[in-house]
Amino acid sequence: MIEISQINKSFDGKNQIIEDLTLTIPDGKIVGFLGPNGAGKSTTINMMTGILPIDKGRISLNGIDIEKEPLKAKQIFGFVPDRSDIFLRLKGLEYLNFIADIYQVPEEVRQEKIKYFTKQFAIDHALGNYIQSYSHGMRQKITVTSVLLHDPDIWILDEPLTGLDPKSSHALKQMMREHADKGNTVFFSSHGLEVVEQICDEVAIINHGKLLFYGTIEELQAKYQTDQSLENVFLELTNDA
Amino acid sequence: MMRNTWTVTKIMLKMQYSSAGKQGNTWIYGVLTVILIPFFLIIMMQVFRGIIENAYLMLAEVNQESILLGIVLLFITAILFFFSFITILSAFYFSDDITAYIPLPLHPYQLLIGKAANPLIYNYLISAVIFIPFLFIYGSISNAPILFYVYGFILFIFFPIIPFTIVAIILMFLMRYVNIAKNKDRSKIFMGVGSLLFVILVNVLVRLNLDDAALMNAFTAYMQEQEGILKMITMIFPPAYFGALSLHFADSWQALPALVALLAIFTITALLFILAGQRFYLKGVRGMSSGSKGNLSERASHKLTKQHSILKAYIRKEIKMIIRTPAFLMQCVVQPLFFPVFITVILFLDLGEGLSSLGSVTPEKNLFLILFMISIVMLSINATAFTAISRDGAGRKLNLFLPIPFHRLIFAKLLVAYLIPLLPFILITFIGIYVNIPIHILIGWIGISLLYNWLAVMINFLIDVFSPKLHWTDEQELFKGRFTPLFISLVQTAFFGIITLVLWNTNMENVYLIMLILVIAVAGLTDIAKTYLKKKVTLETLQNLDS
Repeated sequence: MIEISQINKSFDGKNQIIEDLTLTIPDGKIVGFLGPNGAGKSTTINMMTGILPIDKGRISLNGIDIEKEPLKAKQIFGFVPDRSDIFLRLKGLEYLNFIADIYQVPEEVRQEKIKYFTKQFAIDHALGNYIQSYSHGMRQKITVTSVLLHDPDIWILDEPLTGLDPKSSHALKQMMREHADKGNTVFFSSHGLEVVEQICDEVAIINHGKLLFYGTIEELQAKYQTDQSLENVFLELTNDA
Repeated sequence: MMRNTWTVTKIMLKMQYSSAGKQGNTWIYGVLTVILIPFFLIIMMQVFRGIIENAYLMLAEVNQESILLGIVLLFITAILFFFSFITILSAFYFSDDITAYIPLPLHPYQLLIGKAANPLIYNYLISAVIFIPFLFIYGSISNAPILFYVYGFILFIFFPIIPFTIVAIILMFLMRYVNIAKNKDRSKIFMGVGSLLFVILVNVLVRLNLDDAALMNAFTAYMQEQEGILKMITMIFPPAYFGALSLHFADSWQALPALVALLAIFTITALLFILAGQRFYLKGVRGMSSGSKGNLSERASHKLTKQHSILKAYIRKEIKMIIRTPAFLMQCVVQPLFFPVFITVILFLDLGEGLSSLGSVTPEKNLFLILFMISIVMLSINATAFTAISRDGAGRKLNLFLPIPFHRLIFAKLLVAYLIPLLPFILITFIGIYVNIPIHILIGWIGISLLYNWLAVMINFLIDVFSPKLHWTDEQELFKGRFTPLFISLVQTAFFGIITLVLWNTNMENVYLIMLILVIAVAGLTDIAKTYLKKKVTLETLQNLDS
C-alpha cells in the first residue's frame, strides 16, 4: 500500500508544484496516474521514490516512511524511471547484474530471473551488447527487467509502456495484472488513456499539483454524469491546462 | 551557404557554452578574468621584458635578432599542434552531438567549420597569452613602426589557424581509416591514446636526431647569412619563417612578399581543410557504431552474473563507465598519465645517464620538498573526483531510488577518484627509484602523497557537489567551461608552494622534521575537509542537486 498524506513541493519556495496531495493506493490494485504535462506527476513519483525530498507531508510504502527509513522503503518498491538512457556503456547483462547486486539478489535467483524475463521481453539475444546500442524500446525493456529481479511488492512505473512493441507491451500488462492479483501494488503514470482504461482498477488524476479525482473509471463517469470515454472526461477535467 | 555555416557555428558554440553561463557563479569568473588578465600580462611583461631585451641586444650585434620572432612563432606552433590534437579529437570525434546535425541539409564542410569554432577559440586564447605580450615587448625594444603592429595583428588572426588545419587534415584522414575498426568507442580511444603517443614519439625522434657537432657547424654557417639563423630554425615550419620575416621587415617592402607567402599558405591549408572535411569528415563519423556481439555463452553469462557486495558492485560500475567512455578515459586516466610520461621521456633523453645520480646529489631537504610539490601539482586537480556526481548524468536518479547506503555510495565514488590518479603517481615513483632517491625520502614522499591524495580527492569532489554539471548531452561538456577545479588546484599549489618556500629558506635541515611538519599540515587539512564533507554532503544534498 502507498499512502501519500498532504504532501507539498515547491522548487523556488513560492510556486507550489504539489499542493496538499493526499492519496492512498491499496494493495491488489493497478492504479493509473494521469495528468497533463507539467501537472506534477513526475514530481510526485520522484518524492515517492526518494529522488526528491518532500517539503511537507508524508509518504509511506507498506507503512515505511520514505524520508525516515529510506533504505528500508527502497527495498520494497521497484521503479522504472521516465528516462531509460542510463549507464549506456554497461552491457545489458552487466546492468542487470549491477542492479541485482544492489538489491543483493542471490546468484541462482538472479540468473534464473534474468533468463526468464529477458526471454519474455525478447532481449535475451542482446545482453552482451552495450545499452548504448539498444533502441529506445530495448532500453525500456532492460529497465523493466531490472525492476523485476528483486521481486518488489510495489511497482512504481513512470510511462512504462512508451516505446514497447505490442508483444512486450502485452507481456508487461499481463505481468502488472498478475502482480496486482497477488495482492501487490502497481502504480504507473501514463499518457496513454486507452491503456489506463484497459488495465487500471483505479485512476488518479492531477492537475496543477492538486488531486482532481481518485476512483474507478465507473465512478469517474458517474461523478461527471456521462458515459463518455476516459479521454473525453479527462480532457473536460483538465481543460484549463 | 554562408548564412547556414554561421547559424550552425552559432548553435554549436551556444551548446558548448550555454550551460556554463547558467551557473549562478559565472560572474566570479568574469571578475577574476578582468582582474587576473591585466595582472598576468603585467607580470609577463615584467618578467620577460628583461630576458627578451637582453637576447635582442645580443643578437642585434650579429644581425640575427629576427631569430627571436622565429622562436616565438615556433613555440606557439608547437603548443598549438599539441593542443589541437586534443581539442580537434574531442570536438570532431569524441562528442556525439554531430549525429543530430547529420540529417540537416548541410555540407560536411559547414558542419566542420561549426565544429572548428570552439577549438579555434582555444588556439586564439593560447596565442594571445604568448604572442600579444611578446609583440609589444619586441616592438618597444626595437622601436618598431606602426606597420609592425598591423602585421602582428594580421599574423595573430591568420597564424593560429595554420597548425590547426594541418592537424585537422591529418586526423580526418586517419579517422577515415582507423574507423575500419567499426567500433565507435574503441576508435575514439585508439585515436586519443595514439595521438598522445604520436606527440611523444615526435619528441623522441627530434631529440634523438640532434647531433650537437653537426648542429654547431650548421649554426656557424648560417650565422654568416642575413636572417640565416631564422631560416635555419624555422625550416621545419615555413609559416613561422614568413611570419617572422614580415614582422622583422615591417618598415620595408620586403615584409609584403613574406606576408603574401604566409597568407598563401593559410589559403592553401584552409582550402585543403575544407576539401578534406568534405571528403573524409562524415565518413569518419558515420562509419562508427557501438554494437558488439550480443549473444553470450552460458559460461560468459555466469561470469557476468556473479554476486558482489554493494560497495564492490558500485566501484566496478564506476570504473567500467570511466574506462569505456572515451571522454572519461582520456580526461580522467590518459591525460594525467601523459604529462609524467612526457616529462620522463624528456628527462631521460636530455639527461640520460646523469639522471641516475640526480637523487643522490641533491640535498635531502630540497629533494623532499621538490618531490612534495610534484605531488601537489600532479594530484591537486582530479578529473575523476570533480566529475564524480556529474558523470552519472541521466543515471544519477539511480543513486537516489536504489537502496544504496549513502555513506557507501560516497565512499565508492571517493575511492575510485583516489585510485585512478595513483597510476601516474606509480610511474613517477619508478622514476624516483631510478634516479636513486634515498629510500627514506622515497617512503616519506609516497606516504605524504597518499595522504595528500585524499585531501585533493575530497576538495575536487566537493567542487562537483556544489557546482555539478548534471544536464549534459555529451560527456565532453563535463570538462569544458569548468574553471573551478583549475582555480582551486592553483590555490592549493600556491598554498603548499608558500609552505614549501618557507621551509626551503629556513635553517631547518632535518628532513624528518620537514616531513613531520608537512604531514601535520596535510593531515590537519584532510581532517577539516573530511568533517566538512560529512556535514555538508548528505542524501538531501544529492536530492536537491537538480533544483
